Amino acid sequence: MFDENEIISRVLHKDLRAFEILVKQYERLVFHVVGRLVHNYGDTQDICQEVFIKVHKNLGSFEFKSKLSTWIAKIAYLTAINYLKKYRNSGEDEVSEDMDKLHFTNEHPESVLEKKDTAAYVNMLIDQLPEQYRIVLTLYHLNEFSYQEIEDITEMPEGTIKSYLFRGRKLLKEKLEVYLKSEWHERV
Amino acid sequence: MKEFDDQKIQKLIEEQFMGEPMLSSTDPKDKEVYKQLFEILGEEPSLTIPLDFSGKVTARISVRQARAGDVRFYLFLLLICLLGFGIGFILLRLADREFSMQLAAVFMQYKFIWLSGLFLLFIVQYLDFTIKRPTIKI
Repeated sequence: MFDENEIISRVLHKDLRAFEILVKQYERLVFHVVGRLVHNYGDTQDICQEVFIKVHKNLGSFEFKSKLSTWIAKIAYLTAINYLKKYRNSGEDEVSEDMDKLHFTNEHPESVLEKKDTAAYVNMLIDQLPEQYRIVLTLYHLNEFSYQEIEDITEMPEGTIKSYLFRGRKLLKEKLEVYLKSEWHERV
Repeated sequence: MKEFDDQKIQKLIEEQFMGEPMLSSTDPKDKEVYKQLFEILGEEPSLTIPLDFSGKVTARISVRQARAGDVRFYLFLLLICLLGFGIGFILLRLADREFSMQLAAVFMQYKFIWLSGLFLLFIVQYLDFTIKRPTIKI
């Protein structure tokens, strides 16, 4: 059983073994958040290491105002965003006001059908969404954070989070609908 | 109308009210696709976390801590040396004023050599800390 307070206290008393337990507990969360934003696997690993080094360095300033997972997810999100700001061309991946005009890859669903994997297709679509949509969908559905927690992590207003969630899901549903229809036709 | 339906379905699936009568007016295909989408969104995508990631992170922190400890130790050593020289000079001055003045004059004569040596020592330590910092490959 992972006792957050005890682990924090031990880490603050310079117990590296306790920090290793903390890393094991939250490595999946950090990899999910960073991995959704940064597509290069090598960079994702480096950023995840950097996130935990920051967590270790700043754990003393954690004020227990939120869950530790929220605090760590926020560090992961900000570190990944800073990385993107530093290494990608300006203007790239900005949120389009008109999401209906979002252009997915031309890969026709049939070609993906060969994989016979709906989940892989949806994940491929998610990777093509703007980063704000990707992160909100990941935090809400995969990591099961509440709207308030996502607001704490991303500093987006709750209304914006809800709007990104709705529009992102609607877009994915429309593409998935076409995909499933093609799958059904192929079976028949 | 369609937009409203989408909103309604998403909200009801979120709240797990799929059997809600309100949904009966909506397209059953939409409901089904949304249901499937929500399931997929909740599934963990394949994730490759490097073997012993936590061990490597703690090893990196441990190396950083050791280096920070080294720097603190060298600074402490420098402080002790300076204090030792200072106290030694004061004692010498009390014991033999003239000799201490001669010694100070010699020191001042070669002050650039001492200062350059000290500066070089700091540069070597700094480069050792920055350039030779080990990177841990995963």
